[in-house]
Amino acid sequence: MNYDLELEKLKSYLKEHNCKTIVLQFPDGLKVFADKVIDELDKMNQEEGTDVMPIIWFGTCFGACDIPLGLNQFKTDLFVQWGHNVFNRVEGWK
Amino acid sequence: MKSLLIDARYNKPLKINQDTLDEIKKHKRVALYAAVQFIHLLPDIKKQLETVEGVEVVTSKPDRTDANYQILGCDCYWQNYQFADDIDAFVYIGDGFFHPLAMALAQRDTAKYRPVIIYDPKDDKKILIDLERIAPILRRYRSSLMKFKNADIVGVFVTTKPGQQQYKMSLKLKEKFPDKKFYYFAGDNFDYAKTEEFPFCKFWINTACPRIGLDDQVNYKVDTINLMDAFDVDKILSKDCLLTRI
Repeated sequence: MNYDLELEKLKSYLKEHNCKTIVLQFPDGLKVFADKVIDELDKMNQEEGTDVMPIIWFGTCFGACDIPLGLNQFKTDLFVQWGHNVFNRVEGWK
Repeated sequence: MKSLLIDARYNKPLKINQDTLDEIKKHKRVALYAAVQFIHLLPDIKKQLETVEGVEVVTSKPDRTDANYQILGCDCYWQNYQFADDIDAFVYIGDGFFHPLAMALAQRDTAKYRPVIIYDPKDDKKILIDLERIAPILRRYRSSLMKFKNADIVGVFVTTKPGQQQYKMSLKLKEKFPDKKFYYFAGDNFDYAKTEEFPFCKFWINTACPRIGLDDQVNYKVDTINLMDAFDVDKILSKDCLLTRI
């Protein structure tokens, strides 16, 4: 893979904050690697006794402006998006 | 945020035409339904049908509806209708195929097919949904059920739409099928074309509207079944019914 998904950083964060349900959002080019992330988290659950339930966002991921709504229904502890950085929202388009 | 739901009732007089009545006459016991736009007119339609000699008219209030005579697209399960005794045909008042197809598809796990007679008031015409119309849907769904038994990697789609969300129930899949690997997905819309973006999942379970897994599927190559059918896959495939016979 040509991209560093920073899984060690993610796993450290999950353990530090005791996250259970997490939603992962990937842009189109990285969606094919979503299973690798899940497999790594499943491995962490088995080996380290964590209880992380990862859910992959099925829909679009056009940028940090495109964070999905409604995830609180799953009692989501953490939302993770790959491939974008902070979007500084400005009122109106110009 | 508050929600306001508006029925958008049909505001013209409604009387079933002779062609439709002639079709209804062929049956002894018919079940009468409509979408919400027409249900306020159905007590009068029922009276009209009861003047037809030899025809008994029944109806019910399926679980998710708000009124007698009403039907929803998700009423594609036979038990939703709660019939005390069997019927010989369905009568649907309205236009479009989404609701009447639910009545046809609901019969898949029963032993016989009861035709769906549509009276479309907009065009003043009769339309019949016979078994041939739904046969390709049933054959495809049976094929997907059989493939699920051998699928080792399965994508599970859970919607964020509150009315259709079945996340808690979907988690039981992992207990029921410990030998399968499930990847969970969330989204506001299950788009079959989008499944190609996750090539590691060759098989999908839809937990949102059951019509996505049933009739939508025939337009795509992606094998999918609905959540509750996954739990009962052996029971469904071993039953002598339209789905397994067709």
